[in-house]
Amino acid sequence: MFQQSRKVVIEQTGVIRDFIRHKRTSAISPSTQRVVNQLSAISATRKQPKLINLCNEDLIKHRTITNAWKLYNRKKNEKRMATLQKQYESIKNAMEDLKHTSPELYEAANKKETEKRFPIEMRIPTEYPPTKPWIYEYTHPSEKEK
Amino acid sequence: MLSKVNLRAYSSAVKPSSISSTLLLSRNPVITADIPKFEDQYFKYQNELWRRLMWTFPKWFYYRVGTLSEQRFRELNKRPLYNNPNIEYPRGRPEIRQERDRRFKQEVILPKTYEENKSSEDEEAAANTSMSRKITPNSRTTKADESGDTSSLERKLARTLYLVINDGKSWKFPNFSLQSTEAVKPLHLLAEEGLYQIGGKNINYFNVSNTPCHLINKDDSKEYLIKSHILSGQFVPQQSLKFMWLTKEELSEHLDATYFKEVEHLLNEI
Amino acid sequence: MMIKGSIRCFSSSSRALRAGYSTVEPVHHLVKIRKAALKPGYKDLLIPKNDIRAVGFKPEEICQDRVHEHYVNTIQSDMLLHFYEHDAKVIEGNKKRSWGTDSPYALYRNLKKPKGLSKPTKDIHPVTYKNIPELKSIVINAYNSDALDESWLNISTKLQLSQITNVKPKQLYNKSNVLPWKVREGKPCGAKVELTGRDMNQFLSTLTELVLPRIRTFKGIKNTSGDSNGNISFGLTSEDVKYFPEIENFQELFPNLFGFHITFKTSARTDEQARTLLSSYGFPFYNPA
Repeated sequence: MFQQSRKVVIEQTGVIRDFIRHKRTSAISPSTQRVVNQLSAISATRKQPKLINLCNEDLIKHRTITNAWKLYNRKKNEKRMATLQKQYESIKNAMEDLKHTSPELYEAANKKETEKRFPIEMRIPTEYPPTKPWIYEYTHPSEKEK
Repeated sequence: MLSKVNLRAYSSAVKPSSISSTLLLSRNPVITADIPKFEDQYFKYQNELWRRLMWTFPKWFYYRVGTLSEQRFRELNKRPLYNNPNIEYPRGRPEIRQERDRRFKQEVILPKTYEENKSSEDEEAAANTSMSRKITPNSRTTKADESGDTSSLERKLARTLYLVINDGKSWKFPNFSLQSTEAVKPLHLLAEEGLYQIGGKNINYFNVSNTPCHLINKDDSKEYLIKSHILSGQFVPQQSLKFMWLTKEELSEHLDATYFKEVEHLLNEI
Repeated sequence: MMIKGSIRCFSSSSRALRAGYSTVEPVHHLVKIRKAALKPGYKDLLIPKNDIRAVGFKPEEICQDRVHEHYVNTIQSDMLLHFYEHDAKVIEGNKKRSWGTDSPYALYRNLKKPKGLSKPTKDIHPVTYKNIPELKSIVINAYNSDALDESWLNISTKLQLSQITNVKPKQLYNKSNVLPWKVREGKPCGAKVELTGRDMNQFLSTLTELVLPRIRTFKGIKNTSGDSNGNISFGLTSEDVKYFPEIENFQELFPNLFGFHITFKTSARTDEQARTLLSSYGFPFYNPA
C-alpha cells in the first residue's frame, strides 16, 4: 500500500521524495479525532501501571516507615497545639489583667477590627529567594508628602 | 482626657506610667524551612512511589505524530525493551503498554526550551527578553549569612527573625512606656509611635492585632507585648542604638534567661 | 412417624444433642446478603486507600508543602491573636423551635421553622486555639451550558479541569427541567472537582502567584461574596483561564476553554473570618460599588 502510493508520487512528479512517513486513512473527521484525543488523555485505558506487589519483608518495611512518619507528625502537631494553647492562655491572661489595670486601654485592645486583611506583601515563602530578598525602599505616606 | 487620666491614677493602684508596650517585631521567612533529614527522605520515598504509580504520559496528546516536536521527543525518550516471545527474560517479562513498561516508573525527558552550552553573556542578554530561558535559582544563603551580619534583614531567610535592641545595658525587645503626661494611647499605637521614633518612619509594618499577646508582670511595671511583622523598609536607628535581627535560638543566647523563658512560646520555631 | 416424634419430644436433652440442631433462632432468611459482593475477586477493594496494597493507593506527601507550612508557622498564631475577643460568648444560631409539650399532637410533629428565617443557622463559637479557621478544600465547579447542545464539550471541560488541578473531575448532571434553556434532568452539563491537601495548596499558589496577577480586569474577590457559613467563592471567565501555565503553553490543544466557579470551603464560622483567612494566602478583596 505504502509502496504503491510512493510509486504514484514518483511517477507523477518524477522526483523521489522521502517525506511520507505514515499513511493516515482514518474515516473520522479531524474535529472528532481531536475529541477522541482529549478523551484518551483523561481516560485510564492502557495507561495504568502495574500494582505494587511488595513482598512480606518490604511490606513490613513500608509499614514501619509509614508508622514512623505518623508518629513524627503526631508529635509535631501536639507540640504545635501546646504552643497555641500557651499563646491563647497568655493573651487571655494579658487581657484579663488589662481589664483591671486600665479600662480605657482594655477597650481599645478589645475593639473589633472590621475588614482586617493580611497585606499582599506578606507572601508565601518560596523554595528559592527572589533576586532581591528584601525591599528596602519604602517611604511612609506621611514622609512622602514632605 | 488629661484630667481623666489623673482621676484614674487616684482610683486604681496602677499608675499609667508603669504600663508599657513591648513590640515583638518579626520578619517572616522568605524561603521555605530547611527540613530535617527524615522528612526529606520520606518525601523522596513517597515521590518515587508516586512516580511509579503514575499513569502513562499521553505523548500523543502533547506531541502530534509527524510533527517536528514529536520527533525531538522521540529522540530523547528511547523505547523500552521490546517483549520478544522467543527470549527468556531472567528479571521478568516486559509488559509494554503505550510504549511504557508498566512494571516500572516512566521517565519522561522533555525537550529543553533553551539551548545548552551557551556562553554566559548570551544568556544574560536573553535573560530579560526570552521567557524560555534557563532558570537558575538563587542561593538559599545570602551575603549576610556569610559575613554574619546580624543587623541585616537578609540573613537566615528560612527563619523568622525578631528585632532586639541594646540600650547600653542589655539586649531586649523594644519597649515603650506610657508617659503620664499624655493622653491614654492604645497599646498598639504606643508601640507604633515608639518604633517610628527609634527606627525611623520608613518601616512598612503590619500590626497583627490591637490585642496584646502577652503580659510580663513585674513588681512595679506591666509590659504588654504587641505582635507585628515587618514587610518592607528597614530599621534605621535614630539614636546611638545597637540592634539585631535574631532567630529564636539566638535570642536565647542574647536575652536574659528568665525574660526569654517568659516569651519563649510566642516565638516562632521556624 | 408422627407418633414417634411426639414421643421423643418428652426428652429435651436428646434434641439438643442431635447433630445439626441449633438452639439459636435462625436468622439467615432475615438478613439479606448480596452474594455477588462476596466474590473473592472483590476482596482487594476492601483495603483502605491509604494502604500500599490498595488499587487506588496514591502517595500524598510527595514534597514539602510550602503553603501549609506558611499557614502553620505564621498565619495560625496570627489569626489566634487577631480573632481573640475577651469575654466572648457563643452567639447562638437561629434554631428550629419546638411546638410545646402541652398537646399530645405536637409530640411527633416536625419542629417549627426558626424565627424570621426559613433556614436554621449554626452557633458561632469564639475563636480559641482549638478552632482557628483553616482552609478545608477548594471546589471548582465548571457548569457548561454549551455542553447541553454539544455533549462532547463535557470531555473538553473535564480535560481542562484535570489539567489545571491534577485531580480527576466528576461529571455534573442537570437536576431539573427548564425547557427554555434546554435543561433536562439527568443531562450531563460540565464537571466539578474538589481539591484537598497538596493538590489544593498547589492550585492555590498557582492561582495567587501566576494566574490572578496577570488578569488585568481582576480586582479581587468581592467583599460581599460568601454563603454566610464561611465559604467564599468567585468566578473565572474563559479568558482568565488561559493564564494557567498548564494551558497557556499548549493553547492549540485547548481550542475550547470554559470559565468556572471556585469555592473555598473553610472552617471559619463567619464570612468575615473566612475573608481574613483567604487574604493571608494572598487573595485581594475589594468593595463592589
